[in-house]
Amino acid sequence: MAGEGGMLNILNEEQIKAIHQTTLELLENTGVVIQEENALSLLHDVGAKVDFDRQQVRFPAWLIEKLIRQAPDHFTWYGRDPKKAVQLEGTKVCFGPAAGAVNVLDSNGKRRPATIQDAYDFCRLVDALDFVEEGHCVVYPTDVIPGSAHAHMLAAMAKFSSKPFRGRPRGKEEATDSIRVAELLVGGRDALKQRPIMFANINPVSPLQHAREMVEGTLAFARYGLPVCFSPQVQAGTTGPVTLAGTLAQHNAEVLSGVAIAQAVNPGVPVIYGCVTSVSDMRTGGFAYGAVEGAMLNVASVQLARSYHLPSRATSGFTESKMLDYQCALESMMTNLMVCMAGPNYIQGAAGGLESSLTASYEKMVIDNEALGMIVRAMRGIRVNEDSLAANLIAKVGPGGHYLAEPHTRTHFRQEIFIPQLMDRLSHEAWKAAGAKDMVERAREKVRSILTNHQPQIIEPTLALEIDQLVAEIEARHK
Amino acid sequence: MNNETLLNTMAQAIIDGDSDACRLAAQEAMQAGMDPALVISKGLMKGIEEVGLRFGSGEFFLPELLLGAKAMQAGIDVVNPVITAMGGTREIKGKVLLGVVKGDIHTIGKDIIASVFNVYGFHVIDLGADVPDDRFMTAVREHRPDILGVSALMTITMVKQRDVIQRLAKEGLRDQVKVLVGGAVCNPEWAQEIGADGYAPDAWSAVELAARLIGK
Repeated sequence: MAGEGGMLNILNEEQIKAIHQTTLELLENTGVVIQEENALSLLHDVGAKVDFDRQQVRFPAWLIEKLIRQAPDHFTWYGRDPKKAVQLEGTKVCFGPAAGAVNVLDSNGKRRPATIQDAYDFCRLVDALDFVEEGHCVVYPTDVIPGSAHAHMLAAMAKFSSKPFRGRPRGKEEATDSIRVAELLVGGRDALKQRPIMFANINPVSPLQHAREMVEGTLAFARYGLPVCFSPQVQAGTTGPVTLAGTLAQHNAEVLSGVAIAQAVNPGVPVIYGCVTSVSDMRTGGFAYGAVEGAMLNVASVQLARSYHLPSRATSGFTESKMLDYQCALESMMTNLMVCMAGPNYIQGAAGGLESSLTASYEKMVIDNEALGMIVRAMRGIRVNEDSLAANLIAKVGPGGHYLAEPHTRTHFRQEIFIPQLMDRLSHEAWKAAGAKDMVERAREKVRSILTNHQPQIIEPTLALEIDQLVAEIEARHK
Repeated sequence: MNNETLLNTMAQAIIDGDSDACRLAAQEAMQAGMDPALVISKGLMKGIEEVGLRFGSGEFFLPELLLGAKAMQAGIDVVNPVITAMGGTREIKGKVLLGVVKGDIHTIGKDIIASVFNVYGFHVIDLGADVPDDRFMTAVREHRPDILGVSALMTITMVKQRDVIQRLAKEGLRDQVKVLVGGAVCNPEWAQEIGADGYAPDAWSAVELAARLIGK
């Protein structure tokens, strides 16, 4: 578990109420479009006003409030290794790496398409990192049979990571395949219901639309009892009002209408209040992951989630930069630090991604891991008790003495001071003598070392074979 | 208002993104019997060119551009019927058919492209989103566009861009049209791999590229 956030708020109570009120009005008067008939019927049956021809759903306020209340305020996200389970509750924060990148920035600084080997390698790399709790394969492999990428991703995560991961919910087929892999991994349907090893992340299409495939995925996961996370990616200025409050009100409506679908199909199924929302670049109309407003919107979104007593997901750590440069460092750190301090239960994209999430970097993965370590240290705060106040020790050491050789120092330093592995603090001469390496070079060495030496927990060979057979079956479907 | 003032008013309305003001000025110009071709070249085009200049220099952004385009369209909509009544046609640079592939309903990029192509003198036919391959084929046959723009936002749907191109070839339509691909996941390597005629990262390069491909 990364740590406890919640020390940064950007909205006050009044502002949260005003946004909530606007959302209720939006949902009641404008509603959302839901492009899937089963969901439309389900919502109609629980009391929403549905126009089946226009696929438009309006929610009376009482219905939204009822459905939100049904959802639990926490759940456990299991991994293959029971010790790696994550609690999504309160202000506990955990990190997931960048996911779905179609490119990789290789060691020569050149961008190339992501491959299935990258999926395996990133799985192993992420498995070794202390501050990344989700075992995602990071890339979307482009060298596999079109239509089967999801199967390969699931197989990679199942075989090479013992950390929790997410399913692929885009459409009935992907969702069903995801659930089959999960059942295989934990040993059947009942076992999976007891230990949800994956949840689904759903993106509405802003403004105010839920596309068919995503709704199919929602229904499949929710019916099964697997948690569903609703993460709008509103772009203030293009797919949402340019005024941030308006974007929040719309974003809120998109999340809550998604939650409503899940609760209508399976009352009490865990849901996550998610957010990828940020601002547009006003020059290109493109999405700006690294903008400070994106971090602000994510902080606000976490507060909204908390006001509904729902677990939360946020997005931070991405950058628009195409290389490992100043912009990359600034945007990744700024967004990660701000958003983390808001206390979202799960942050997606926190490590390893650049070029607006399109590209992954092995070096950035380990650099970001270290940055997250520093953030986690900050969130742990300052311990003030008799031992840490060390009054007796100060008296003993006295004026002009020193603490380096004190047992107290030895006992506590590893908890008190974050020991960096990649940050360089040597003197100029020592740094030169060590090869005058920059951060990226040092990161590259660490990546090499991990990929050479780290072995994730081995999955049983018979299980690995079953998973491979499932992948082959899915491939055959798409040949 | 005298003729020159009307032309300036029209241009300013476009710079201000004021559709109503542009429409009114265009109507007055037509009522005063001004030459419609002149109104377009010295009034409306002057306005949009200034918008383009300010966009290029970083003073204007997309909202000014798109509202300017809307205002210009309001003016064009007044002038075009007059041209037609006189037995003429508005000179267009080319015909552009646009659509977002099947399975994808992200339209903002395509809409921006449509706007910009429009103001730069192309005739745009917009098929919208979630367009099945069949419909692309039918539309190419029916409209005989110079350019087909195929848009996809997601990694999952970008493969459809390849499908559309392969289908055009299969139906013997590939040579009749220049295919441009675009969308956030797109890049020049992908465009080349799937046999597209080009890729543009934004609306202006797209217009330039289109003009080059058509040979204008």
